[in-house]
Amino acid sequence: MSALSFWAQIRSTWANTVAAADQAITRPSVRLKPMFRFSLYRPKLPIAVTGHRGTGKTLLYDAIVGNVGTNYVPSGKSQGAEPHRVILSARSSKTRCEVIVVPGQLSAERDDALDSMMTDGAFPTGLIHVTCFGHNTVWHSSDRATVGGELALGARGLSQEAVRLRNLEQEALEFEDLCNRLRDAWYRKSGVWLIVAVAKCDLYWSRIGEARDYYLPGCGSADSRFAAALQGLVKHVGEANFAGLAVLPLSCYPEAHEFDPTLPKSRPELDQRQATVLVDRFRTVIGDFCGRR
Amino acid sequence: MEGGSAGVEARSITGAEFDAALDKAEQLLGFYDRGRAHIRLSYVLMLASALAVVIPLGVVAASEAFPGLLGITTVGVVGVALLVVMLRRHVRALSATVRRDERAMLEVIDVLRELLPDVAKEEGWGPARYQIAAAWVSRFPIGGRGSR
Repeated sequence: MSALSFWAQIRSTWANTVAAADQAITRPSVRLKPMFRFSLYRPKLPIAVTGHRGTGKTLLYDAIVGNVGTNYVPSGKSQGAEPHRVILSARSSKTRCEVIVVPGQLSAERDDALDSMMTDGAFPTGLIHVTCFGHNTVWHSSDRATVGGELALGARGLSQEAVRLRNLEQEALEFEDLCNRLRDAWYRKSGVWLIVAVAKCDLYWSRIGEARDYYLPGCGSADSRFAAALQGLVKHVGEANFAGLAVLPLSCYPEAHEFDPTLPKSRPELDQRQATVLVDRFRTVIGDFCGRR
Repeated sequence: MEGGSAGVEARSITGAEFDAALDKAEQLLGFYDRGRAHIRLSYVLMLASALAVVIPLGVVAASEAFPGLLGITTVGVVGVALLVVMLRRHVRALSATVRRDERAMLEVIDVLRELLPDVAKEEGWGPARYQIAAAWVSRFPIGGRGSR
């Protein structure tokens, strides 16, 4: 597969997903549901869910297993790695997967989870990396005050855009660290897949083209730090060794986002129906990649 | 920025201040870990001392009649009860200290986690310097594990 067609295919999947947001909800072809708690079956497929803090990793897991409904309440800051066993049903096949949601903060819990999945020959077959175009949640108000104070002291000053850009920088830094780990874990491995979930896109749907240019290599005039890291990883692992790679817009739970009460609030530009379509598309891609191994 | 003294301009945290705060957090993590180990040891001591009295008494009582059994049992049970009460008080005091150290450690490290990329950028840290600081910050837990 030529370099152009590899990335062109990824861009086409993105474009199809964006276009699908306005289509009607169809019956999902792929389902994920948690395994019976006391089941003795061992999951076959390790999948990691990674991302910077406050991007919505736990929410994404809840959305793909169908836990997000009208009565859903987001669980907030995760205190550690969250291991789950799920059954993925696509067409006539069923696959047992172990999904581990890795904490985003630099912490002992994050290192332990990544080490258990990526050292001593272990590697995740699938990896879902969650990003949010700088709309991260900073969990504690004391931390928000610290960040706000630091930004106010800096050259950029405190503004909604300054907070977003700061989050984007941190997200890229975290992704570079993850890529370094993946380079070792996926070295000479094949059948692996990666999905970059561009989550919370309901908050910036009018700027979705900008988000595509930021996360997808070869879209803008110059690749962003994130896109360069992604391209570097693909080059190192080898395009042929990927069972699939996708960068997809996603909205799991449209809700307003506010960093600080003094700054304007971002309001969702998508409704629940459109979010459901995006989650269904996301789930279908997971099913497709798992079936390709 | 509010809160500074008049005439003194507020400024961001420096690399040296970051390292000093990290040292403090490291110290608190040490106190916290030692405190937790101490508490676990106290619980083991309570259990071991209770078993050390109850098991021999049980064996003697089951084997044959012993003239001084009642007296020895009373002394043994009272002794163990006193020891347990003392250790419980010790554990309660220690738990409060552990929780205090834990709270302070988590607050300091949360701030350092947030500020690490800013400090690195501001001070022009190279990849190695950043990697070392990130590895150090990664030693800390995200949330509390309580005093047990």
